[in-house]
Amino acid sequence: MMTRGDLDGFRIMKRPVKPVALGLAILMFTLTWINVFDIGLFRDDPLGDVVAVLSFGSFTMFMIGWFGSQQWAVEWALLSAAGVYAIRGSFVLFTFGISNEGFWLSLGTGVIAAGAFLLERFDTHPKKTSYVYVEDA
Amino acid sequence: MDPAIAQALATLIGALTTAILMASAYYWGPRQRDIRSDARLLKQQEEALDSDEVEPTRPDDKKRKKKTKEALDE
Repeated sequence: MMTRGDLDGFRIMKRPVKPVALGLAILMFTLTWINVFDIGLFRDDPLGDVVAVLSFGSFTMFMIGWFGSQQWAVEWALLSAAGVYAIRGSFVLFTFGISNEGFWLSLGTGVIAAGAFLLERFDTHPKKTSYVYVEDA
Repeated sequence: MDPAIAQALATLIGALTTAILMASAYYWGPRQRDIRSDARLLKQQEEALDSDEVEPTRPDDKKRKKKTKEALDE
């Protein structure tokens, strides 16, 4: 089985390759790292801790989705990633204004995450109705 | 803008975005539409079976119904 987020014909460790999910997992790990050590955009603001928790949750879900072959975990991870980028983008907008580069980068990444979530979620493959990833034999 | 207000608004927008995405996926999504449509069809079928006012769909249905009734009466 494959969903709309998978690369057709590619398998690593018998698992499908989801390039958008992989890229967002790297971004979530980065956001966790820089917000835990207060070296990012939020510095020592409390919102940085919220973003760190959300992005760590998202990264964990990506890992559960990949290693446990759980489709639902990938979907929740993509949803959290979209939420994280909505928070980040709107914070940059309200703090630095609409002409700031960070706002547009966050907006674009958030749209990618939200789109990937909807594509995965809207997949109507019959084997996906159990909400658990089923690997082809 | 005051940083506290910016943070509060950013949190609100993040929560709203997530809520809208969840509603899009879990309520308006194509699979949910199918499930609701299937449930509606099933309900209609059940109501039609329970009702005596169902018109026979095939010409021999009346005959078959009569035969079944006779068999049951015997």
